[in-house]
Amino acid sequence: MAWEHPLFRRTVRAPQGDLFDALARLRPPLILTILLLLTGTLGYMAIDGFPFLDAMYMTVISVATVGFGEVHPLSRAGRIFTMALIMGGFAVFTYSVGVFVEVVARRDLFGLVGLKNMENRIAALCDHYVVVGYTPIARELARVFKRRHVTFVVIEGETGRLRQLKADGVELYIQGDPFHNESYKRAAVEQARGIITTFKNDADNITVAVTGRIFEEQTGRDLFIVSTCSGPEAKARLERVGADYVVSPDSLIGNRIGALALRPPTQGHASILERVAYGEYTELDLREEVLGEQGPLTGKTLRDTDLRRKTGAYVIAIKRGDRKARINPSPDEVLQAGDTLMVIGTPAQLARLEEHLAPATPAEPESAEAGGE
Amino acid sequence: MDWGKVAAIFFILMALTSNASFVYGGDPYNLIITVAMSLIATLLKLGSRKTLGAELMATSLVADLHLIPAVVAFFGFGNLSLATGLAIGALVANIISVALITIDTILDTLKEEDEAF
Repeated sequence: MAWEHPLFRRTVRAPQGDLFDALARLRPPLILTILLLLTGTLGYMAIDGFPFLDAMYMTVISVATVGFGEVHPLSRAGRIFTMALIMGGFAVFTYSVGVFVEVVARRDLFGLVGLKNMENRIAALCDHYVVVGYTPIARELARVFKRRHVTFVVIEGETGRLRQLKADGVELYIQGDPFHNESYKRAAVEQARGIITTFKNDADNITVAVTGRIFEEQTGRDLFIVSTCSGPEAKARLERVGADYVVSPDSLIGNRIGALALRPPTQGHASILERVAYGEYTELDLREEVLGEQGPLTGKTLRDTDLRRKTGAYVIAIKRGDRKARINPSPDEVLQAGDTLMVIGTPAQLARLEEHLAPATPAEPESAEAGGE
Repeated sequence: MDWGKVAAIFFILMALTSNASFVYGGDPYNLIITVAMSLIATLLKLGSRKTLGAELMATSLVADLHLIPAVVAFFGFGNLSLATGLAIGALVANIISVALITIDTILDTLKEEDEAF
């Protein structure tokens, strides 16, 4: 049983396999070693009047059983003391080796050090996503995020899924209970951009969404919460408890298969549009931009905005209010506040568009043109 | 009786009292015991995540870093005044350490009472 001293009981219960728990196991042998050195040194000083350094040297060579000769002649009492010291030293040595091997091998000390380093990296993150649970959907999501260089941290506590996660090369993860506040804190949720939950069980997703909203209240930082759901009823519940966006995997898959059935792509190849939509074609990207009241495009016609020339990105649709999206809009279409523009372009072009739309950013000089891409 | 707590407080107090003994009497045995007790107290504070865990660890390290040179000064160079001076520094750190533990224990007790209600 691990020797614990409740005087230093943790205010926050550490997760299983914590580095400090493992290191705490090394305390008893270290304390015994110090006590043994203390006893030996004081013993030689008191019994045979050795100077401090000689007494300590004599203690160390006796405990280590290296077999060096005595530094000063020993009295009868001194020899009896040395015998006791050697036996005590052997017992402590055997015990210490056992504990050390147990901590290093069974509790994977080096692995725990690695985990601790990873948690330090996570603590320094900002604007990342926290993916709760490494479900099959989360696994696909991790692939997309990796491909798109989006920073994310997975919270997972199940051994099998953790093994899968490591095998998939997920760099940042928290080994902990996905429904425990402490896990979210360790995933630096206070600095995160959003939380994504993809459990099969709706109750689990609701718990995650509610936890996210509680953290949002505590920190005052907006979290974008995305969840999956099993059906329309669960979707309504999740939206009610605070999920910003709820996706039904069944409905998504149905729609995708329907689209494929209606317009089958070339045998063996996914359509370019589909690859763009799912982030598989990284040289082209689709993005939605909502126009603000004071935005630089608001009130202008699409032609006057000169977006194509300034940024290189291309507006393929405009969605206004509850109306259907206007695909391939006319250049004379006047843009209004609240309009959602669907824009296509390379990542660089879309980045330029974002800069162009940012109200704080000064307008780019007319010479900075990007139409050539 | 909570024996873990007894052991932890024992070593921390022992570091303080043996330190005070050395400062008062200048006995070499006391100095050696003080160093050993102080090192054990540091080990016990290592990795503590209590409210004042970092402060406790820091005070303990300060005490160790005074006492180890004190041993060298005393046994290596026979400089009693330097050793005593360093031991007084360690004594201050040990007093602060005990004060911090007292505060932390009170904070913990209040927290437990709050949780109980």
